[in-house]
Amino acid sequence: MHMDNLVKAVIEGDASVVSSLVAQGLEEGLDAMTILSEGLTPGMSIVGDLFHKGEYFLPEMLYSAKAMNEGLVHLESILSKGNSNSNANVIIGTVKGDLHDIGKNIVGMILKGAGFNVYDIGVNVPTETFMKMIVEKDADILALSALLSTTLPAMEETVRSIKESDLKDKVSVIVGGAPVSQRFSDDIGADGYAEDAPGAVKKIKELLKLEVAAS
Amino acid sequence: MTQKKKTMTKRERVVTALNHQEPDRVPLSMSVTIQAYKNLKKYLGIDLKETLNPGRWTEVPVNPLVAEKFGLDVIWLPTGKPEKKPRQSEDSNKWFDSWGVEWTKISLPKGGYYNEMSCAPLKDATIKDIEDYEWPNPNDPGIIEGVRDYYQHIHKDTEFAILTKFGGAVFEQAWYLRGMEKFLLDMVENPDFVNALLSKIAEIQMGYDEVLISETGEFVDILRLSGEDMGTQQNPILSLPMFRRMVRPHLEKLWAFAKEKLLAKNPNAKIMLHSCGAVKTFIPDWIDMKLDILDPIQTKAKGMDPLGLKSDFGDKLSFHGGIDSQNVLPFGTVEEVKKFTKEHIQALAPGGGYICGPVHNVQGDVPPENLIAMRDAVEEFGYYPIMK
Repeated sequence: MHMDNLVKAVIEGDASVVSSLVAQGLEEGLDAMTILSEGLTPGMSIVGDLFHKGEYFLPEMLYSAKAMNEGLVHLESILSKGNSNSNANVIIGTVKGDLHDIGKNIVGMILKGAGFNVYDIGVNVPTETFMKMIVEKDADILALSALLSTTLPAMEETVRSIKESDLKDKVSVIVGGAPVSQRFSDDIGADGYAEDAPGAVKKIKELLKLEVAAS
Repeated sequence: MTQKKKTMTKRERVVTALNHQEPDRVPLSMSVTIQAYKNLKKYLGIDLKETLNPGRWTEVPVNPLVAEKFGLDVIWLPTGKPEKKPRQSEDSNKWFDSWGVEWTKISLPKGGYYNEMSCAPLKDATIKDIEDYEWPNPNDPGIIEGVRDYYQHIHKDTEFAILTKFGGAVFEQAWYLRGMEKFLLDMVENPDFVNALLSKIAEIQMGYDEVLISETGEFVDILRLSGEDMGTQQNPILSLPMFRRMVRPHLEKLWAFAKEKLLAKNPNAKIMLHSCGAVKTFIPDWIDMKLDILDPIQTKAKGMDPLGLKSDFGDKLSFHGGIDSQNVLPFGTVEEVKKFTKEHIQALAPGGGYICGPVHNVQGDVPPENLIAMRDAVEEFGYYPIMK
């Protein structure tokens, strides 16, 4: 299996080709981690760049993410036994009072594609649930989403509760969503803000002091 | 020193601006959610008992007395409710709309609630299921009940310009029915389904336009072609080629139909598209599709800078909205609201073609003081000629 073909299939969103190439790679004895870090991750990273540059839009990005997921299905059971590349656990969810999930889902998919262990805990999530899950999943990063200006107070409440608790040194909190800005993120004491999914990958790598690949 | 004197009626002001001429003053328009409306009425000291029936977005019609006291030039009028009752939910927090989409009432952190789509009825549907689906009926007699008389009364007995919506969205209604992620994926992997669904929805919306324009068209100044949100905060939702290939043909047919029917009734009437987000890419196409007015001009979204929009498209397109509701109106000070409104008037109003108002329905987190500040800025800086 040639990695270039896998990267290309992810970019083109060809789910059946991605699935069969990953299966073929494993049969040929390739390491699951290698397939992820040299095939699926670079593919999704290019998709993220294309999106950021305005060459791909939501439909194409979702299509590629779906293809990537078809490949991940083969790898997840193997990867969960070992450690993934970054060894970082990310919890992602939309804050209380807000049921919007497409932005959160896309960020979650791109983070998965970047090799993080992503736990998507859904929408309308109260602070207590975020805090419980941070402990349960041994999270390094909490990613909060909000679409409505009217739910920004819930985002603030969640960030403040975490920053006032014992979890403050354990987890970094990043925020995003249409009404969220760098200024708002600073005001509520979050550790980072990104305007889109590729930006979120970069921000998490910075916070975890992981190598940020030059793009 | 500008002489701040009104020389036009509210309707004349709106009609003049929409004909790309300078009226006496920039017109003011606003739609509000129930919570914001209650707060505003209280602030204005208006003790008016009325039954409020909020729509999907918790928006409510502004009573003419409130509109007059606040100083609006445009009034948004509702239509009738279908006689056929939608499916009932067993959960008191959930309800179905006439399209069969399930919504859930969600409490907001600082009081009030919002309706959120919680189940897309066509999420697993095939093309065949589209034909068999129980679609809403534009000929339901409840839709027009009392509507003609009320529109005629507002037209004859008040000065307001009338803004309304009949047949609603096509592209956006498709994701309500299918689920947004699923529908966007369909656009890549299932284009035949997309075409069948958009055709069906456009046909129904055309039915609503036909029935309601025939009832009220001569009284309508602005027909809102409903919410076809095509932008996120940063980007268009879909590419321009995909829009042209898959969405434009359906919208073009519907808009041409609505515009022709409407102009036959009122030659001064205009059609308006509501499309949130970073949508600049699509504007030349919309102009080509004979659009008159674009709403809401989400000026905080990428590429939606008002000066750029005015210089690129201001001679062909009018703008409605522009006053930021994501940050400035809910969280800004009175001074910040005034400054923002002044800047947007200076950018968008010269030569006419601008109706000032909040970007989208005012939410419950907007202090009434800030709405008053927006209105006061229109009164202070909105008289022609616009001063820099």
